[in-house]
Amino acid sequence: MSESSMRVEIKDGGPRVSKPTIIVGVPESGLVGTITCSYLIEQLKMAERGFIDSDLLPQVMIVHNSAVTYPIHIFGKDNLLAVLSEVPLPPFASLEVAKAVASWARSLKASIVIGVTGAPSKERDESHGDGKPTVVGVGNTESAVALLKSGGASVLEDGVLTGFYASLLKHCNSVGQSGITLLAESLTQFPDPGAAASVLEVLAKLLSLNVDTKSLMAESEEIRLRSRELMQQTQQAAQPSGQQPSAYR
Amino acid sequence: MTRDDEPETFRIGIENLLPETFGIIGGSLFDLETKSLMPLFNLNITDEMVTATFDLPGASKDEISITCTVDTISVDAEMTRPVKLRVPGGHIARQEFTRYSKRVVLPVRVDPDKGTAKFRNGMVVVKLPRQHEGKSVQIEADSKVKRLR
Repeated sequence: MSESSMRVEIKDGGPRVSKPTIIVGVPESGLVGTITCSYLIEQLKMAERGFIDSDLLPQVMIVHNSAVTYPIHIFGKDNLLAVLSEVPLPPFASLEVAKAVASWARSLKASIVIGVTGAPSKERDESHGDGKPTVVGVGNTESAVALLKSGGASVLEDGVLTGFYASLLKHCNSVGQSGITLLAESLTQFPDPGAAASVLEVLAKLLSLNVDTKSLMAESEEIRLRSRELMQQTQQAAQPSGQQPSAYR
Repeated sequence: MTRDDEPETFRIGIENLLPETFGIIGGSLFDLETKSLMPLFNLNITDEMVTATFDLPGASKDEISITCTVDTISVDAEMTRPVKLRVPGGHIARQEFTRYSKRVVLPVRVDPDKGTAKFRNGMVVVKLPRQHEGKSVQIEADSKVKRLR
């Protein structure tokens, strides 16, 4: 594979923003990241302003209202940006996309990068999605941890992060970018809008966003029905390595 | 040919390749002919128990039927209301679905008389104890093993 084909290209055609907050959601456990991000984009009426492309990604183009778009979108409103992937990222692509997002965030002088995702939870699987899942956060700098605490999020003390969000945090570190990952206990193999609602509540508190999770829960069945295929593809993408997408214990 | 046209036996074959990890590898999620959705499901197999979980958002609790044999679990469920979903291929407009239907062939034998099932949050969980049957095998009288003693 040549050098150029391995590159990840970020096209951001939106207006200049000062010290943006960047929220990142890709399909992993329970599709928590994508459900959270899509709902946020819809609720805040964020506008599409760019995309991320790479030859490492699955050969997919998404058609929305007759227009062809790339599967990893960048949305924005004011100084809030959101990166949302509509395709599961194969392991190597996942690493390269994480690197590119971290560098891009640094070049924008982002105040913080927040990855949102689920952590496969046996308890949640066993309770069949009952109750309210716990959300924990990991921050890579003192200020990131302080932000987590100010939002009332529990800070993960010991554990392991794997997959895309681990790479994202790692590369944020290496370019000197503040980063946080929020993880909600989630169902492992089924879409989990309940876990997304929990993450969203913490996110809203952290960033003082006015987001109501009631309609997310009301649309829960619809979301589970619509995201069946993405869930299946995400499982398939995770299969060869046999690893859980991301985990904390 | 779309995946929907593949014979059921072929899909089951794929699923059985990796039965102890994920149940939803491969296989179509739609059956256009019967207007049914094939649910996401997961199989968990321990030494004692087979636990199958089916994700049935929108299913009506009173309209779920579960049938088990020594090596299959079948779940059929009516939805509380029809749903319209896009199906793979994209060029077709949304299709309407009214029910879920899935037959899973188990890679191990179970006791179908001792099964239990629960429905919660649109998920059905079926638990079946495994059947361990076997006959003891004697070492032949003139085998090396015996002579070594």
